[in-house]
Amino acid sequence: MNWKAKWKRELDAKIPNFSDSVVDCQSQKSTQRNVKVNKRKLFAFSALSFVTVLVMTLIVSFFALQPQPMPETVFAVEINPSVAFVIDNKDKVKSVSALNADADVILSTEDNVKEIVGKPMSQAVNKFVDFALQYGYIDLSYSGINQVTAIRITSCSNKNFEVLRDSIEDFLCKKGKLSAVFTKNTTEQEFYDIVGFQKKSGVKLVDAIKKSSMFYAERTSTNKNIDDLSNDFLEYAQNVLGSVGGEMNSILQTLINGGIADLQDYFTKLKQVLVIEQRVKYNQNYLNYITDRDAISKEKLEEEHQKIKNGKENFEDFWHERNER
Amino acid sequence: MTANNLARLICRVANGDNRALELLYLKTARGVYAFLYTYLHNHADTEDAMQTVYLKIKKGAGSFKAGTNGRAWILQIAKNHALDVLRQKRYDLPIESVANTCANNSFSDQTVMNAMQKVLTEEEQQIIALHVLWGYKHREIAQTLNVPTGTITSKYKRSIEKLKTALKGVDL
Repeated sequence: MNWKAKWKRELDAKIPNFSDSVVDCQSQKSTQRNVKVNKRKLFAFSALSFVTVLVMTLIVSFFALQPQPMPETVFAVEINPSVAFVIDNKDKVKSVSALNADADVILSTEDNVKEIVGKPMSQAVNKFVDFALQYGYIDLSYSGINQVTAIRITSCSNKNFEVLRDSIEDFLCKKGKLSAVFTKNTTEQEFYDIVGFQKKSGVKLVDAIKKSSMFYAERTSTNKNIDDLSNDFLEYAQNVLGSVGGEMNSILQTLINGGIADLQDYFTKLKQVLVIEQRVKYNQNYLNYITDRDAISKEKLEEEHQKIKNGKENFEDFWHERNER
Repeated sequence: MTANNLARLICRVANGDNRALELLYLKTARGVYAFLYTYLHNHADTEDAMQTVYLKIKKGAGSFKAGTNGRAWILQIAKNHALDVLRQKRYDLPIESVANTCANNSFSDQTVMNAMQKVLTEEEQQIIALHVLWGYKHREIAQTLNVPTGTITSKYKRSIEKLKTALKGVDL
């Protein structure tokens, strides 16, 4: 046995079995965590809860006579990644929600979330900015347009965010990064649009954010079926292919717009054809191999490869003829 | 398994397909284990880390962009978690458990893994894991580890030579 095979066997002996606990793990919401419940602890917790409720009733009654505290505030910090923070009247972060997929990357690590939720606002926001730096979303190089980072703090409350603005600029300045932090006060509807939540009557935005999933992907993929996700993929493919120039883009755009079902298959075929072309270009032996294998003349093959360069219609003709042989 | 096939599986996991998660696990567990082990140097921690990594994969599958590199995505999650564990252990690990860790790693039937840990650096182990278990080309490893391709090629060759020397005369 060679060392590679032996190594793989050793790894197989060590790898744990696929555990049912992975399958049973529920999709995480910001208020849920997998916790092992111990019966003794449950009983103790129940007893403690009863006493706590009793005491709290007395305390609440007392405080009911006091002036009402300011409600919670929500604001968005947009860098890319972008998140929405909910803070209480003491400027402590109650929850954080991703507003785009890149923020999901940061918040998908529990330890990152622990450094944000429950912390004072400035500390939490600076930590989020620090994560954006660590994960490469803020470029620390000094060249070109990356020299100054623009960050926007948006809110529809009347809260003054100048202290937060100064804190972020100071934090980044110490890291050697110039930044311009803009604070924007907007209407409630505009803010709903920014954070991507639907306004529902009788439901406050703060409550809607706190009750929804922390992850952008979870909130936006809910109720999507496989066709929706396939369309997302095609849209993504279009965006990616938009950066591919010239005739290639034109060919692929036609395939996409034509609604071809098995796009993957066409990508594979196209790649095969182009690989052959490149190899033929640089390796005469490969051309000989192809012509022998496919029993077509060298001239015919070169003629067909030339067609690819002439654009999408020729490519489709070529492919139909190829398949009919 | 190719990066594209992995990407398709991840998309199915995002849809709540537990069978896809199991298949993903079967296809990638070996590579993830070896990769985590290069950071954690300890089977107990690596086993724990495996479960957390696949939980994170299941949780985060919805944020995976279809069409992007599934292999790289999984490895990034594994790497981030390994670094988190190491950071945590820096503060938590009491001195006496270091001996336990060493004892845990004394295994007589893990000849190749023993040899790799003994003669190869962490980076060399990662290069071998990425090439042999994940099917990465040297160019792709170079991009992942942010070093020139030539460096990867020569390091890989040197690592194989060191490993073969260490395993000389050993009955595999």
